[in-house]
Amino acid sequence: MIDRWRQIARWLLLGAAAVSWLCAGCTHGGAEEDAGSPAASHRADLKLAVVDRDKYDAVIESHRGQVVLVDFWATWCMPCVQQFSHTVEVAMRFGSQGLVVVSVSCDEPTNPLPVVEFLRKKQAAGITNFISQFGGSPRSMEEFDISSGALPHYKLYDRAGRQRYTFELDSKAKDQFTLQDVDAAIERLLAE
Amino acid sequence: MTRICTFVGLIVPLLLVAGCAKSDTSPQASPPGNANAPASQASEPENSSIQPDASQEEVSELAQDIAIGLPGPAWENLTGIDDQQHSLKDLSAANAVAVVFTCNHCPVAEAYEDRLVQLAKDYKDKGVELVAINVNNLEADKLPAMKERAAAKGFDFQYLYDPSQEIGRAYSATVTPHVFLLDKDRKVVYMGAIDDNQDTAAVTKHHLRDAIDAVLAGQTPATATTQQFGCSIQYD
Repeated sequence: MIDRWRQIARWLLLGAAAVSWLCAGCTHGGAEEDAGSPAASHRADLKLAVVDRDKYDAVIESHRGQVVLVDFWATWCMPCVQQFSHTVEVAMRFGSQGLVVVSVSCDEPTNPLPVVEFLRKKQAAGITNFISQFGGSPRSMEEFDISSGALPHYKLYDRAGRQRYTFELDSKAKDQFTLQDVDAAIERLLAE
Repeated sequence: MTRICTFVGLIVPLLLVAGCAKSDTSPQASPPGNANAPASQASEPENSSIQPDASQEEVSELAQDIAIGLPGPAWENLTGIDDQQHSLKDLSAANAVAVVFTCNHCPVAEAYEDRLVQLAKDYKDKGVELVAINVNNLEADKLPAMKERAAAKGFDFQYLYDPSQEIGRAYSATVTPHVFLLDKDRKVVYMGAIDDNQDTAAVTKHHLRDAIDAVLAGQTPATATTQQFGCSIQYD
């Protein structure tokens, strides 16, 4: 009996430790858990969760029947920062037609505050926001098949969940892609 | 989620210093521009970089132009921060040439500046030439800014400017920093990232140094390509 209580006490201690780790690691992450805490209430509108490839694939899969645009970006990426408003805007413009917009930040998950602040400034609560588990490292590029290693990088999936378009820097192209090109592809897939 | 956060929590103390440093470089100060007009990109809708399922095609396309074992494209008469003209052929005595595409404005490239300075210093006596090349035409990246940065950081290596961007395209350079190591015969023996993390404290693999050491030992680098990573080069 005493052993059992000891065991319970140990689990409680472990639990407390886990909670403190959570606070340390994710206070600014706006991870799902913190939305309910009083300290987080002012930003309860915005969620940011850590994502790896498996979770990412599951998210894409969960949107079967919709077109999905994914914006891979980072706070250190100047064009990403400049173009992010467009990402938020297309979510509103095409949402009723079946477009879902996802963002994946390649910033450090250990320091998500700048990401959360940026997303709040951009009023990005209407889109699904993630931060790569692998942060700002080549591993993020490998995990998410960003062969150029360059951000911004957009992937566009059709209603059947197939990846149909990628938009990224092409060092051989005469002209680089524009946001109008992204819009045109979205409209094409929505019309299918 | 709990597992991830626990993991995150565990490494927070380790990375706290790095995290603080990085928040300094996050572009809170750079105001978001017009969403529909990224300054760096051409506005014509015709565009070959839009490819259905482009990733695979792009890899094979790039492989034809720049590949391990092929000669590294030679630059000629690029202006350096010393206002002199520089060409690859001037470096004929070097045992190896490390070509690093970099620039001023990019926080990732900036994070690697001290590492480049150290690398150039460590390998100077071993006949390794480090050549940094900028092809971005943003004001913050042009020659006057390059000179300033080089002076501030004590670049003891060539830092060249190619406003035509041709050398960047010839190497299929996509990001800053993006590195290509040429051996004694000026063939590409390594390309990709300088190391595996922009945060010095978190680096576990020193790709470029390992490749240089291999070349100097007369061997083929064990890892010939790695995933480059950084800010998009702003091709006009």
